Amino acid sequence: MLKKEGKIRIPSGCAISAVISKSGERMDGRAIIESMRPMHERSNGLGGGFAGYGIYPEYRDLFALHIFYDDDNARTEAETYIRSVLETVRAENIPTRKIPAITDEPLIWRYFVTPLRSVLASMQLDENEFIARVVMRINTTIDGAYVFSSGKNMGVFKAVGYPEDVGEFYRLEEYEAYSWTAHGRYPTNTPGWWGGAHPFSLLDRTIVHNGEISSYDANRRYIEMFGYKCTLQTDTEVITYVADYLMRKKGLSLSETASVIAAPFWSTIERKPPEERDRLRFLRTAFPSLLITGPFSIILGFEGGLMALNDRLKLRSMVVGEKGDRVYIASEEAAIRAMEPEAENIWAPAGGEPVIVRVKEGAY
Amino acid sequence: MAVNYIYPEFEVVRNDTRCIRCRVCERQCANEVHIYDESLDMMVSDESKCVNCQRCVSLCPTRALKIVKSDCALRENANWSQDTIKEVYKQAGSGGVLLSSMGNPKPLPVYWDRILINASQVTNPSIDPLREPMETKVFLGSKNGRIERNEKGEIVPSLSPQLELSMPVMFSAMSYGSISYNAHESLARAATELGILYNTGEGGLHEDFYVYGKNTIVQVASGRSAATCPERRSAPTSAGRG
Repeated sequence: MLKKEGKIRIPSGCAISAVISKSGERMDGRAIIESMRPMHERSNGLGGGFAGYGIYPEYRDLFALHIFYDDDNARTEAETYIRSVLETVRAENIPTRKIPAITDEPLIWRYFVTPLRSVLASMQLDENEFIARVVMRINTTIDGAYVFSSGKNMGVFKAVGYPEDVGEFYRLEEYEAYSWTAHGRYPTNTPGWWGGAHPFSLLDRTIVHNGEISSYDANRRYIEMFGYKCTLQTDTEVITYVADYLMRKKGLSLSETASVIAAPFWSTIERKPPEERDRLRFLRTAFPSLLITGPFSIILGFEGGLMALNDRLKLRSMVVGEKGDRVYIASEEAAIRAMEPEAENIWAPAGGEPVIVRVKEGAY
Repeated sequence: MAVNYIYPEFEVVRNDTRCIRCRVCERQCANEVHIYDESLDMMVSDESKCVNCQRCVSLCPTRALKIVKSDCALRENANWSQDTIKEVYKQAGSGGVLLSSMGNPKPLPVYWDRILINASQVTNPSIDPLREPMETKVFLGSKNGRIERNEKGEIVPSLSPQLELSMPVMFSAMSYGSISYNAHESLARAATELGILYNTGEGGLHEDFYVYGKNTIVQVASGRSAATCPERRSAPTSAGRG
């Protein structure tokens, strides 16, 4: 029988992991799927997902849109709109494998697109802003259609189910990526549905998140002023848009972005050397509504790298390890060992301290 | 004993031809309202002590006494009623909040009968309330969102001057004139101690308060001839740093 509030203890659920090759060497999805197995109990089967970077080398200059459709009507409507603004080089179902663990799947499609030159010119936007607006438009105005991945040469794969099963469902062993992130979900506030699983993405940025965002509404109200719409009923979505805004629109670096979303306490800032103190004060004062409070462990994936970040109180676990040119990040050491039994230098980053890993220039 | 400037609420009306100077009223009054004056051979009454208990009225053998509500009235005003004015005088006179008994003696609606208490969660509470602190510091000022960088690519702080408040509370403007010197000093000291700001209103800023300049917002408006305004120089024109 349903337990009452207070009688059921939800542990700090959700599981995240990631692996990246600094030399740009491609890896198939098996290792990342394996990393989620020891962390099975952190999820409750209501969501799992992966993001892979470098998986579509033959279409590397095209945006790969991954879209869920509730039914064919939604698909027709979306494709009509897509045809009016984008040139589609290839459109197909994302290949999946029927397994008992994953049921009730929506239609899952992918399109390799580029903006129609004439429309792009007439709107006087760069192609990234153009695609971002197309994604927002589909997600907000076309019922039953959700774009869940929209970057170049990368893709998000997610579903309702345990992550190991999701990986098998999407046949991730057939993809080769230089960087993978993964997530297993334990929803804290919102229903489990296909669109609500992690990773959340916009353009090439993806977020996997373990935690709960207390400041969700403040963040959402601010970020929606800039054209982003939070439609996927999960607090994590807002971090993706915050990262996109700060990095793409404001030009902040990764560590500057970390200083906004996981800003140190005022008392900590006051003790820093003068120049750093002034910079941190500036960032915190200029973007006060983008501070994310609440426990979190996030991994931000982007073209050419990853950033892992904890909230400034380190209220959720995160460990980092490495071996050779590979760097491993996960909620638990067991997950790292599952990917690489000989992993070395296992350490836990401090709260608010970003861990940034980049792939060698030119190798992606 | 403090001087009481309010005209007594009740008047003792004695019909002197009926009064037989039996002094029962003097003996029975708990508040010593009635006194026999030997030289005048009559009863005199200090109505300022009367609470209208009606004991003397009921015990007087000749029914010579009557206690009536005084009809000495302040100027009528629906906003500042007699009762309100008198209560303020009383509190000022005693320096303490007036105490009375439970219950509502006025013909006012009982709001408790018209409120629905509905306990529901409307927002996400702090997830780890024992470990997640609340920082209440707020900066007011325009945030243009521009990012400027120097040649090394480092951010150059470029916000216009901001007002720094330790918490999102400010005192509203009440002019020196509408409230007193003491009230202004209280606000200035409170704002300084709390790390917030108070507003002088349009009455100008007393020079004794220049020392609290860092926590003062000076209002320059029509109510004060702004010609001299040396006080403006001591107040935060560029207050705090971003």
